[in-house]
Amino acid sequence: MSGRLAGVPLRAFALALALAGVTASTHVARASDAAADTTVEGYVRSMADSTDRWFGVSAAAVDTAGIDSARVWVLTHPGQAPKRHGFGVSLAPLFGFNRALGGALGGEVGAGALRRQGRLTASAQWTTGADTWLGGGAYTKRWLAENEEEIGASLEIRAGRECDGMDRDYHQPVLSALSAFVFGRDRSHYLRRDGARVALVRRGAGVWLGAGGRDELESPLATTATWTLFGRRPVVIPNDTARVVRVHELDAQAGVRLAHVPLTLEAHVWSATRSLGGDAHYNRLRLAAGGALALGRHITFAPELEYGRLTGAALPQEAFYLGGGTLRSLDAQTLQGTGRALAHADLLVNDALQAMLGLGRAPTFPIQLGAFVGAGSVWGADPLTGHAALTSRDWPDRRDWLAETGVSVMYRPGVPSPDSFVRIDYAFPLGADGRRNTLYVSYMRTLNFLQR
Amino acid sequence: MSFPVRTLTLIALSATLLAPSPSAAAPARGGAPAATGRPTLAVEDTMHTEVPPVLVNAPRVTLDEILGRVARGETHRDSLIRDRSFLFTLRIVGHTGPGGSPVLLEERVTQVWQRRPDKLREAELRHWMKDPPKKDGGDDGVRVQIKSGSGMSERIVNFAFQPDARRQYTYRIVGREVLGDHLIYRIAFEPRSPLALDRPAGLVWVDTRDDVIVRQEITFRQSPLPLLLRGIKRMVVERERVGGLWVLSRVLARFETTIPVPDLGSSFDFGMQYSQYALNSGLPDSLFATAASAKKGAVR
Repeated sequence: MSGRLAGVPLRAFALALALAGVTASTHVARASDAAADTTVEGYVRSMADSTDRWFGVSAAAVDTAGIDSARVWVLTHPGQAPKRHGFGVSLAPLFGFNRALGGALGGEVGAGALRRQGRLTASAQWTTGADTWLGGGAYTKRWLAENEEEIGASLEIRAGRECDGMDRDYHQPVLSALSAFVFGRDRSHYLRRDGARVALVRRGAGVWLGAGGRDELESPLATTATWTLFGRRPVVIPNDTARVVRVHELDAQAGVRLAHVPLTLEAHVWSATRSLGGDAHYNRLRLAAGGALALGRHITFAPELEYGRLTGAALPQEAFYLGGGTLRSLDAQTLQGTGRALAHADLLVNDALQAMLGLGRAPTFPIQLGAFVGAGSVWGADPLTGHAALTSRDWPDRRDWLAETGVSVMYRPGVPSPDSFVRIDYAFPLGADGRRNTLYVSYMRTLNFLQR
Repeated sequence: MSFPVRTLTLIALSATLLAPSPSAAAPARGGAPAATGRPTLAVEDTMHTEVPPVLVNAPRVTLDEILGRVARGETHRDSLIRDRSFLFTLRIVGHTGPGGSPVLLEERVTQVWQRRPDKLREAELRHWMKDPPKKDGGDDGVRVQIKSGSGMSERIVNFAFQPDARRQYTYRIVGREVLGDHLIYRIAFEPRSPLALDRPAGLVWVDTRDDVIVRQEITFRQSPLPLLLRGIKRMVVERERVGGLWVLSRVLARFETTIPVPDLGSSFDFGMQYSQYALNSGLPDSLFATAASAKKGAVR
């Protein structure tokens, strides 16, 4: 250290001494403040002493031996600008699987940081079944909110060719791929999209607004893979046929979390017209509401509602689907239509099952129990084919409703989503319509009708 | 400044009447002479009086108003700090569970200088590790970095009392304590949604003279990360008064892991200490000059 001090400019050394003096004078100020305000400081200090005893060595004051000399050296040397980590280039493999593509093997290269200059990614995947390439590029940028913790706004621009689920509202690509590859139990239907899309979302205190648009050619995919990891035959072989159409679509969304009522409201509108230059003409509306209410300290009541309506053209890739996450006692995407109404309510036990059984207050893997009741309907479907069809009805008939009840066993791992549960639901259909008791395994948030 | 004679007379008369008479007090203190041989009985000499009730007609401060004051008080506190320097100590201690013997695993001491709007200089003065990784090169010595961004709002203290957090939390007053001319409110907060299991609840102590938070204890209804953490057994955020302002002094937390982790054990502590504060000392530009700019003669 002394060798380093030998070359210290006099001006810098004077600065060091001046700052050291400032520190010393501050300590004097602290002493005088304490004398003038001993009551509150003593009160706070007594609690701090209690904290010291509880935390022990973790709360011990720092040993300052050698700190002052190190600080003097620092003050006499200019600092270094933080090391630039280049553009944060990263490489990652990509895997996918569904019965329309077969295996999809490839990789992604990315550069940049989401919260600084934004992140550019490029991906490419070879599909073993469809024998074609998927991929493209994307630019994503995020801005922090004023509190510097939450995301205040996000922008995403994406172009290329991709395979997507027909259900625009509830498709979970990772879980679907896993289910298809391992168990052959994927019931999603797929289409191909070629083109570009942009989405901008702005979030504020309890309010969020979003807008976007896309110019994409949508085309159908046929089933090309009927194999699974363990040789099980897929439960669904054919892939529903998407209509070939060039879509020029604009969309807008808004949501609000009410201040004094535990209720969140969401609205999302998609509109495609030929005046925008595309072939498709439709308007799609989706409204959702949900909230959670504490019934005492041990029970949570979480009701949610959803309403959806498609007008203009009954494209299968714009239809509303029923089953799975929307109605557990019905297989996913069993029914479709141009209108959908859903109601669901969960009753959750807040305490861990192990704690209730006296096996410890903080179990390693806390399991929660719950019960649910739900009802859903889709309308506006061709009675012969079952495919979505235009209708003038804005509300379902009474006979369109399907109801259910059931029980749930849940575990919240905390990652990747902090509030999502691994759920095992056992659903009992209500009404004589041919449905059977169903075991439904999922990973989703309790209020899954809400997109945020 | 005339004092009515009648009043003086009244006061003197009252004093005479209220003063204990030696003759009357004697039996009370000494009791009756024990000539009869019976036990001595004490005589009650407490004076009974009644005062008329006084109706205090003043508006009660609502919880909503207190929350508003705290938000404003924290903003005001933040606005009073133009620059600051402090010693930041990060400490990780393993094996802190019952029956374990705590082991200091890592300690990092950093000097920090901050100046509005966005000047930040950090110098790591000491970095001690129980098991340091093998270095392929020599010791780097003291590392100094100049960065931008210098938040001083101490959100770890007041995150639940920011205006935008009012939608996410519910609050209740759990206690008031008078300390000299200070009134300390204890306010509990918890997530409004019972499904927000990853969000913290807690208890804060608010000094209503400055309307700032002086201490906070944070709890979680469930572990925020159940797959890795069994829970957070205790978390404390403390402030101390420096130069008339309350500033962050310590953040201490004890984590319990789902499975024992090498070195950490099944319980470990994470501590952050902020000490040796200097506030509004007028940190010069040259302190934030980088080596490159100093070389160009930019140091003033």
